[in-house]
Amino acid sequence: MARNGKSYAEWKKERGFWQDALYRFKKNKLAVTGFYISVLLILITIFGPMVIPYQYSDQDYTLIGLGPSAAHPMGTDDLGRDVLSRVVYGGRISLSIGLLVQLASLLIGLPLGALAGYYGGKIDYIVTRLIDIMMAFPSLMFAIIIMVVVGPGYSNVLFSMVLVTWPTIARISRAQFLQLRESEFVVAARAVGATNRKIVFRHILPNIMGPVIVAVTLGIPTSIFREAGLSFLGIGVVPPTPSWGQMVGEYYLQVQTYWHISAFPALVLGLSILAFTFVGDGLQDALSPKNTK
Amino acid sequence: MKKKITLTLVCLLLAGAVFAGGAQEEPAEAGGGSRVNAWGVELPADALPAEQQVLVLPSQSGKHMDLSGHFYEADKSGGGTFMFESMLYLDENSKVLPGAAESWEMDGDKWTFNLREDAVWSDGTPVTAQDFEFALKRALDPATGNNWVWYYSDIKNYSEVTGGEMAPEDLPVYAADDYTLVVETNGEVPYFDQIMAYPSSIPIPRHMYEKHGDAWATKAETCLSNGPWKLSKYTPGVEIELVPNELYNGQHKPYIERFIFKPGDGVSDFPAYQAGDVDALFADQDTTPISPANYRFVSKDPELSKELYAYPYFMTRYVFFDINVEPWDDIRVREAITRALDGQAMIDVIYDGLGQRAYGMLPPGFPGYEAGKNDVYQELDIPKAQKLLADAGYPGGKGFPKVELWVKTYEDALPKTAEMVQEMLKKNLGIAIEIRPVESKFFNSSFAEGAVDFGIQNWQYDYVDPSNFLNVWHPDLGRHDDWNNAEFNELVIKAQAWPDPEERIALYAEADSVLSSDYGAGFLYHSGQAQMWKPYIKGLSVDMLGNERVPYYFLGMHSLYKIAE
Repeated sequence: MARNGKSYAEWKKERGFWQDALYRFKKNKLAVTGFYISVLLILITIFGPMVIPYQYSDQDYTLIGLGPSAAHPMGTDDLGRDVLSRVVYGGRISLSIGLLVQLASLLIGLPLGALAGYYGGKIDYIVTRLIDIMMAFPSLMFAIIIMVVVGPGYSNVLFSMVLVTWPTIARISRAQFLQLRESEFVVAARAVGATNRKIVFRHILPNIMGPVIVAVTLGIPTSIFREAGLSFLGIGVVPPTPSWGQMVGEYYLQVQTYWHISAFPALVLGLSILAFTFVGDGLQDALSPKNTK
Repeated sequence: MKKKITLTLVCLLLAGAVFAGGAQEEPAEAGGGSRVNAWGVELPADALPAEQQVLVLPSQSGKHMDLSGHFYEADKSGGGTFMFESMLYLDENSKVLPGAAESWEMDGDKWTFNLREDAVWSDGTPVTAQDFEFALKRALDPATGNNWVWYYSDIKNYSEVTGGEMAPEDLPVYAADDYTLVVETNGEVPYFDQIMAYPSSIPIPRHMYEKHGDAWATKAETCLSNGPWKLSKYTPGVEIELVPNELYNGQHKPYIERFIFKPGDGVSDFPAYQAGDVDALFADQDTTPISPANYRFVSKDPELSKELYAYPYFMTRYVFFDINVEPWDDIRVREAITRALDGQAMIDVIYDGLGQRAYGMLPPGFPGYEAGKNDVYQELDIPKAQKLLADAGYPGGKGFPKVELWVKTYEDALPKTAEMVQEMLKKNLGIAIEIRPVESKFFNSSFAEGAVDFGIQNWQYDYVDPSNFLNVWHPDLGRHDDWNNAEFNELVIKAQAWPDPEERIALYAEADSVLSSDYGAGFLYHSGQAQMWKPYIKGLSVDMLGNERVPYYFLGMHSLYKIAE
């Protein structure tokens, strides 16, 4: 870390909040490892299918149920499809859903929560009730019900999961806005005639990004896991599209014959959830204002 | 001195007790049940003593033992299908044997069944024709909710009663006297005796029903039996135990004295078998006793494969098309799809070779099946399929509309078949279809409404007569109205009551060819099935095709016995 010849104390005082956070994050070995693994997984799922010589849906009946080998590092499944390509392509599904759901929840939940927390009154009442209603249902159960109604498929999975996830972000956003709208710097800003827009975007929003980012990031493994749950039950993505949860669900009872078809996706699923969780935890520690190290 | 006397007396008493007890034990073992079981049947030489003739089997959870009531909710794999004595029985060659009835005859459109006059329920009450009449009328009463009654559709006024237009009491099934049951049929139905051998053709103890209503079949005390076994313990879905019904005096006396059922969801059955918790993998018609994946594992294992009994099964799986909807109205498209699907590959991949390619609705070994007859219409021919598709206006699959292949998910093999169909159509014809996996009830209701244009269906036999398979395709008698062919309909109706049995079978065979050549379905395969029986169980039946296995109805249980492990 370049300090340009300044002493540690001076250097520390000059650091902004975000640089401070980055420093703390980098010091957290677990978080950094999680970060690298997450990035690696994302890269593999993006570029993997372009590199691997097999299509995830190609069936070859002469190669059924083979264990790991040089030609097929993760073996083949019971329809002769290459498991590695299915795991990688399935990663696209699982990770993209995990990330997109959180992104969409952010785009919906943040503004709604902001409106509710900042303006209060009727808007707050409506939004809060909405959040309460959604949170009253066990999320996965509600997602299942929606999937049963709208039918399986990638976009439907996204839809049902965003529906159950946005309240989490909205709640945090609302709580933060409620808290900060009475803070000293907001009062001061108002005193000098700042518009609401300016207050929200220039003053409050930057200050709440910490907890919001943490919530969004920690929500990624939850979303990945929920999608796996839906596909495991057979109401997630449609065949032949693979997803980690779907592969585990289809073959976990056949571990005696085909252990590799469920083991590899399960491993990768667990790994990705752990990785993102470490990142989220690390961010939480790094962005926590209580850490004044 | 007193102490010594007391001590001696006590010792003598104890010794006496030991000897007396010991002396009592011996006669009990020698005469009480060793080689002759509860019904007086002498056990085979290698069989264990009668008290040890107990079988532990898995079963699918049910709610009651009333097969005339809500059939699919009944504990039919928990003894419901063999505990009672049905009117008649079928042997492994589908020959009709006496059951509760000792003689029976057909006179035009009237069947008469003469019951054994000495038959009694397990509480001693006589079994009468009125018990049978009551059971049948109750089964066909739409209010009962029994959804397996299509089976009795040959009874006169069946449609009116099940449709609610006629009261069940007016169904022409009546007791001419206490031991004679008369059934009127729709015209002459020569195979109706086979139907009275079916699980629902059992009597209901009216005196129990009158006292307890529907609950009669949910408790061991009230669920009487007229067959060799009766319930000693019964908690639906939890515990089922059958013990000998000593009052049974029919001719089908078994070896096995007791059955213990372990109700479950089917998933843990295979591990339970491996652990020795159950003696067999054997289920009723609605579930495959052993999944294809486990079958593969077992057939490769040197020890377990000896306990595996695989057999061809009378079932047919096919893709169907709604010819009222594009593009299925074009016969060239249907033929193209049919000729692009490799059913043999599906058998090899999904069922590890257990089964065979299907070219028609009737499976091999079934009356009316003729090997090679329908191959010419349905066999794999990819170049021809491609040409047909091009002729129909979709060269290379271009421009083919988006279609959804509906498939039920109750069994692993179905979505797998769908995925293979999808891949084959993509590779061979360049058509990209979507798969729609749905739950069985939803599939059935959507299909009944006509909402399914393209899907996978299967049919398994209920009784050995071509009408069982082919009536399925008649718009009124069966479930398929997505395809309607006048020639086929005519043949099937004509064959119903045709007097000459050989000509009748030939009519059905012709109907099958019409179905195949007009592509009402693209036939995929007839899959086999397998059961597993521990090596210490003997007496497995041999079915009509010569395969060793235990049929889940009829007298399959009666010939089994246990030897030393």
